[in-house]
Amino acid sequence: MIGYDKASAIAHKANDEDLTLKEAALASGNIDEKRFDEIVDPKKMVGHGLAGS
Amino acid sequence: MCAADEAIKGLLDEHFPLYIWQNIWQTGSGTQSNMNVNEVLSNRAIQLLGGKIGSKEPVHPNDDVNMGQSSNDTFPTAVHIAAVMELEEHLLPHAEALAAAIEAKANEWMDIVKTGRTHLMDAVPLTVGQEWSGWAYQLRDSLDRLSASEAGLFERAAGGTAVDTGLNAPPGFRREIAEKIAELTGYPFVTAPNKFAAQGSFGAVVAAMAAVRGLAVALMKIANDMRWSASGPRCGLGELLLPENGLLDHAEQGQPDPAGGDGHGLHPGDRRGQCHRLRLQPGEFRAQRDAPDHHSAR
Repeated sequence: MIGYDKASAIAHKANDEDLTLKEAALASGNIDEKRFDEIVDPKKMVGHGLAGS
Repeated sequence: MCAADEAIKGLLDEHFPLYIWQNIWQTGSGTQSNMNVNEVLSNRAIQLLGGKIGSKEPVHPNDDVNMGQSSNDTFPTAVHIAAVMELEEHLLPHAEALAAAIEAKANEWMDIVKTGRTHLMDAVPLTVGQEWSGWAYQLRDSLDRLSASEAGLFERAAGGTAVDTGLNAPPGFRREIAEKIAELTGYPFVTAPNKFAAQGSFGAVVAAMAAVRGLAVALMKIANDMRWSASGPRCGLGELLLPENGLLDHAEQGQPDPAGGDGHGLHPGDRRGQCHRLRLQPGEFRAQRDAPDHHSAR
């Protein structure tokens, strides 16, 4: 688990430096590209219709 | 868990400086209070484990305490639980007791004939018991509507997380937390069939408040009729003699102060005021006042 603090730092870095979330996440060294692509997929993040995730 | 138990017991109250409904340091969803709980529990747990307060180690406020929750689902859930407990443990039993007491008096006085009144003018007769039976029925009617409104309150939002999709909550969490809350409270809470509605609006709470307002209107009607009936002691209607309750008016020796009726009237007014300030002033005795313009907006 990457955790709240690192995820938050990544989001701030992306915002401050005008990077994509993926660029900022990879630059942090906390996650690799394959794992990032697995997790950050909007189609997976919305769960299953009304049933939630 | 120890830290949470201490917070529930009130031992950590001084660490919750945010006042939910009247504080500007608060979003409408209650995020600050939610994080306040997470921070206090994490720091107390750290303290109990011998760590350094503020270090987030070994108990992190987000990752270990908050976990798969959002103020967007926990606050509506907490409001529903609080509303059900207030209704079941305070309002319903007390209003039931009042209805039963009025019913007993209605039966006792069923054959005592009195003057009817419409628009405060003398009218054809009825009995005291008939009048009181109407008050009791008004209360029973309001209580039925209030009980019916609880069905919506039993549906809880927890498990929807931030945008109601349940992202970051473990599989089965929404159902399991509903079962656990039902077990802990003894009330039949279930997970809401549609989180997008449950978190996106307070429909069930609005419906319950409408039912509370119905009860408030009944109470106001009863309180006003009782005050009129007991007006006097020498120059009013003087139909009812209020028991002396020690609240003698300090300016007028010997006059029983109708504080009961006044308080009774004030409290429902307060409840109604909180409900959109609708104009629903009931009439006196046997005629409605304002009936033609009940629905006019003010």
